[in-house]
Order: sequence, then C-alpha cells, then structure tokens
Amino acid sequence: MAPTLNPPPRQGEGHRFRWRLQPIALLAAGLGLVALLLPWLEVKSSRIAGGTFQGVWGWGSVWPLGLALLWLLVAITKGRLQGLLLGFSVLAWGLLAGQEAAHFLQGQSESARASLAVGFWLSLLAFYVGFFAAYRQGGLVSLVSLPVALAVLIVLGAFNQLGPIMELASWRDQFVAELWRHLALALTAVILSVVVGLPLGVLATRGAAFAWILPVTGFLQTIPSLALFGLLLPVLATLSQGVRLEVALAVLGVGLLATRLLWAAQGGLALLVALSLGLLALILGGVWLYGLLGPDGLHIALNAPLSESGVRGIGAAPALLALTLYALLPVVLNVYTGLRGVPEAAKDAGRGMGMSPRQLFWRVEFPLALPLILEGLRGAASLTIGITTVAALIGAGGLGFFVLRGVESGANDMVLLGAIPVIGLALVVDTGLRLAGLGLRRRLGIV
Amino acid sequence: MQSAWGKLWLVGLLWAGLFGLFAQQALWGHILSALFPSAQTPLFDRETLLSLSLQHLGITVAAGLLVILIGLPLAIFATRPLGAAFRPLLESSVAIGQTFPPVAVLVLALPIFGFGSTGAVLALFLYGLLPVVRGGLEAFSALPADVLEAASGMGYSPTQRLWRVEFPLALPVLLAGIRASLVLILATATVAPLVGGGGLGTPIVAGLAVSNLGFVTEGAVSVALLALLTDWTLTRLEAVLTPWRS
Repeated sequence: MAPTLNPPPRQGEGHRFRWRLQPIALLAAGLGLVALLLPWLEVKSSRIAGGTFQGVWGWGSVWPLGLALLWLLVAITKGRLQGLLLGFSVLAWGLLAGQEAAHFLQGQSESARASLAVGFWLSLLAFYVGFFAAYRQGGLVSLVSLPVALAVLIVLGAFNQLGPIMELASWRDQFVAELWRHLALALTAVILSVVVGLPLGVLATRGAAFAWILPVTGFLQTIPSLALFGLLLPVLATLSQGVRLEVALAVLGVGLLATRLLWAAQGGLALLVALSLGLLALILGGVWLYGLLGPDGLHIALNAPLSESGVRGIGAAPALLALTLYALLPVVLNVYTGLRGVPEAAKDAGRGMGMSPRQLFWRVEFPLALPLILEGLRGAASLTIGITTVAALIGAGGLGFFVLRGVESGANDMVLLGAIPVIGLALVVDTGLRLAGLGLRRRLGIV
Repeated sequence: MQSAWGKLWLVGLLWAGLFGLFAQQALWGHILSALFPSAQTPLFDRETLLSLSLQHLGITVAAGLLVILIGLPLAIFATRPLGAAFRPLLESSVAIGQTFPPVAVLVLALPIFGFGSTGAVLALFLYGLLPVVRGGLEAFSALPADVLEAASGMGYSPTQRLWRVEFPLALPVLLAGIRASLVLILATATVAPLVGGGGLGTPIVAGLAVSNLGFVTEGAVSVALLALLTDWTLTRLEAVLTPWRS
C-alpha cells in the first residue's frame, strides 16, 4: 500500500484534537452501559413461542450495578489494568446472564426457554471494542484475560440455561455430525481449489494464451452461490443417472491420453479437453475425498450409475463443485499476483546461478510468492466456511441445517446453534492463517 | 471519453433486453418445459419473473443506497483528524465482519429487524457496508501527500480540500468498493426469501423445497444474468466517471 497520509495517531503525538480520555474505551463503556438498560433475555414458554423481554435490573440490582461500575472503571483506566477489568466484566456479564436465565426458568415447564436479546449482544460488541482498546494500549493482559474469563464461565456452566446451549443439549449427536460434515465439505472444497487453482494461477502468468483464466474465475464468483448450486443441480442429476462409473473413468483415462498427445500440437484444444475432463475429475475426486473426510463414508460402486457412488443432483456433489469453483478466485488471483510480484532481480540472480526454469520456479519464485498464496488460501477458507452454510439448502448438510430448520420453524435459538459455530470457525481459521502468514513473512524477512 | 459514453448506450440496451426477456413469461414456460418434461409446472407461477426481478433489484438498490449514504461518511470521518482515533477500530471491525457468512448475517438480523423485505434490506445493508468502508478508508489514506499539501497551501479549507481534491482523487477506489458492495448485496439477496425478503431467490428456494428443477433453473439463470449485467454496468460506469484512468 502507498504511504498513508493519516497514520493512526499514537498516544501523545502531535495532534490537533487531543483526547484526554481514550475515545475507543469511552465508546466501549458507553455501549456496555446502554446494554444494561436494554433487555438481555426473552423468556418464552416454548422454543418457538413469543416471549416477554427481561432487563437485568428486575431482580436484585447488585450484579448489574457491579457491571456498571466495572464499565465506568474501564472507561478511565488504561493498558493492563483495563484488560484485567475487562476480563472481570466478561465474568460478570456471563454470570449475570446465566443467573437471570436460571431465575426466570425456575418453576417453568421443561420446554421454557431463555433466548438472548439485544442487550446481551450489545454487551458482546462492547467487549469487542473494549478489548480492542486495551490491546492497542499494549496490554497483552487483555489477550489472556478474555480466554480465561470465558473458560471460567464455561467451567461454571454459566451459559447452560441460555437458549442456544439448551438447543445444543437436545441436538447434541446431530450437531456433532453436522459440524463434521461442515468441516469436511469446506476442507474438501479448499483442498480442491488449491489443487486446481495453483496450476491455473501459474498458467495465468505464462503469456497471453492463458489471459482468460483470471476473468473466468472472477466471472464464476459474480454468480450468486445459491444460483451456482441451482445451475449445477439439473446438470449433475442428468449426469448421475445417465453415466456409469466405469464409463466415467474410461472417459477420464482416454481424455487424459488425448490431452497429453494434443498438448504438443494444439495447446488451446488440449486445454479445452483438459478443462472439461477436469470438471468430471473434480466431481468424482471431490465426492470421494469428502467420503474419506466426512461422516457419511466412502462409496464406490462400479458397474452402476454414478449416483450409486455418491454423485447426485442434490447433496454433496453439487455443493462441493460449486464451493470449489467459488474458492478458485482468491487462490488463482493471489498465486498470480504473488508470482508477478517476485522481483526481477531475484529471478536474474537465480538464472545467474545456473538454475533451470524448474529450479528457478521452486527455489525462487514459489517461496517468494508464498505469503501472498497463503493470503489467498485464507480468503478461500473463510469464504468457503461461510458459503457452506448455504449448502444445506441443496441437501448437503452442514451447520446450515440448523440455520434452515431454525428459520423454518421460527426457533431463533436453533438458528444461533448453526450460525454461532460458523462465525466462530470462520474467525478461528481466518486468524490462524493470518498468524501463519505473519510468521512466514518474518521467516522470509519480508516484514 | 467518446467510446466510454458509447458503451453506456450499450449498457442501457442490455438492461432493456434483459427485462424484456424477463417479461416473456410464456417463452420461459416453453423453454423450461422442454428442458424438464417431467415437471408439471416448470415455471414458478405464484409470481411473474418480471416482478421477482424487480423486487430483487429493489432490495439491492435500497440496501446499496443505504450503504453509500452511511458507509462513505463513516470512512470520511475516520480519515479526518477528529475521527482518526476510531480508524483502527473501524478497520479491524470491517476485517472481522467480512469473515461473517452472509447467510448468518441475514438470519441473525431476523429477530432484530423482523420477517420481510425491510429486515432483508437492513441485513444486506450491514453486510454491504464492509467493502465500501474498506474502500473508503483505503482511498482516502492512499492519496499523495504533496498534492494535499499543495491544496492546503493554496488556502483550501479542510472541507474544500475534501471535496475538490481528495474526493476526485479517491474516486476510482471508492467506486471499486461500491461496485464490490453492490454485487455482493445482489448475490446475497438471493438468500433473502429465507427471511421473507422475496426476490429471484424465491423460485430457487421453493424449487429446492419441492424438488422442482424448473423453478430452480428459472431463478438461478435469471439471478446469474442480473448479477453479471450489474457487475458489467458498474465497471462501465467506473470507466465513464473516471475517464482520466484509461
């Protein structure tokens, strides 16, 4: 990025509007205090019934008063102390919500639920802002106090009475299966998109004959995910009924041979053959890899239509193909930009050392492009984890199952049971790969 | 310049053509029943394709306008001295927000905004805010410092400098952010029927529920065409609005 005009001001640097207090911490405290005035829970007689909203001041005001005091302290402290105080506020927040839920559910029937309302979520936002402020003040404490506070809350079972957790209790087995499915779908799609995207990205840097690769992958991403699922459905349905597995394998084999022979004579034609074969291979490979990784097991039935081997119009096959095509853009684009960004001087040095083009690629270009390629992988992974949620609509399962069932039956807790883990997974994978990229850059000496 | 405006005529023609195509209810019926002979009613019959596509476009434009009206001022505020303290927070929120899956944003907004197209528009607005804010932050902070100093040196007030110098210079990146946001909103609006929002996703979701491939194809093809044309139109608009780049 170009040099920035307005670098973020550090504390005490020359600045026209100098804030005495940290504005971000003030914002956090303000949000937290406003949250205390709003309802935290919606107490319902059943998981789908409408309920009554409950604030935190209704029963005993010691806890909310304490939390309010903590927020005021957060607003005026800095650094480590602030991080520590925020940890305590998280504790107070979880215990308060949990106790309130237990209080209102006491004496109610088994089916009664305490769903989360706006105040609860606003507090969460306030914590995010607060920890951000504390972390930027150099308080590493804030990085420790948040997980510790959350762990204590989970050990104490503070959340057990809250709607989504009660929902989890009644869906436990299904939840594990769908989570596994979700991960297997996303992982398969990301693996395939890297397997396909790496060569495509490398090809895209090799001259005008392959200039169409970037626009085509971009075009694929413009199509809404649900539409891509929908377009693949009839195609795969026809394919799965009409083609037998051994025929498909034979086509692949012959086609591979034809591509190899054509490559020397007619590059463009060979690529066309290779691409259509690649789609078939992608479908079969995707379904089998998913069979290996996922909870449903691997089926290979020779001498039978493809549908017996798991390739159907509905279910995992269209989902995997669509997810893979979708994840291609970040991978291809970053491989391309990464390789393009390798300094000419480095390549010249490699050539001067007598490296062959192959050695030059693996020893110079690829390692130098790796940080950007990893960035592409990060984009592909967090994108795929999110879109896999939609795959439940075409019967592929995954955490979207809970989202859809919840929306259909009007049970918001069930929606949350699907949505919260998806967001959590995306954040964890995103942060993990971001850190990996940072580590890689350090090792390469780029940062 | 001339050629850019010329292409704009083509854009108008294509939009007219697309909606003309959407209006041909009978033609769609013929094609779909030829493709899916086994389906009894291959064409979604509860609403015409034209009204579905207009709904879809309506949701997209409403959410897009909200995004521009709120996202741009937010980005401008965070790049002024007054709001500079909030800029890292905004940047990090945008980065985190982008990892939120669109469906999750849509359904999480359900209890807050309620069932129906208003809820869908507001949820889509929240999601579409991210590219615009990010583009805005990038655009306003990557301007050449000497140009800005020259402007201040000429006696421009901060407001004058913003409108006469910074805004035109930032325009390309701003427009790219707006395009990304609108295409994202249009794509995500396909899932809007889940929260009662209507649009071209309606036949897809209905078709998946009753396994009617005709419905699914109808919705999928139309929304794909709409998305591609929107993306291309905005690319053309960018070229027309920033002619000095080509």
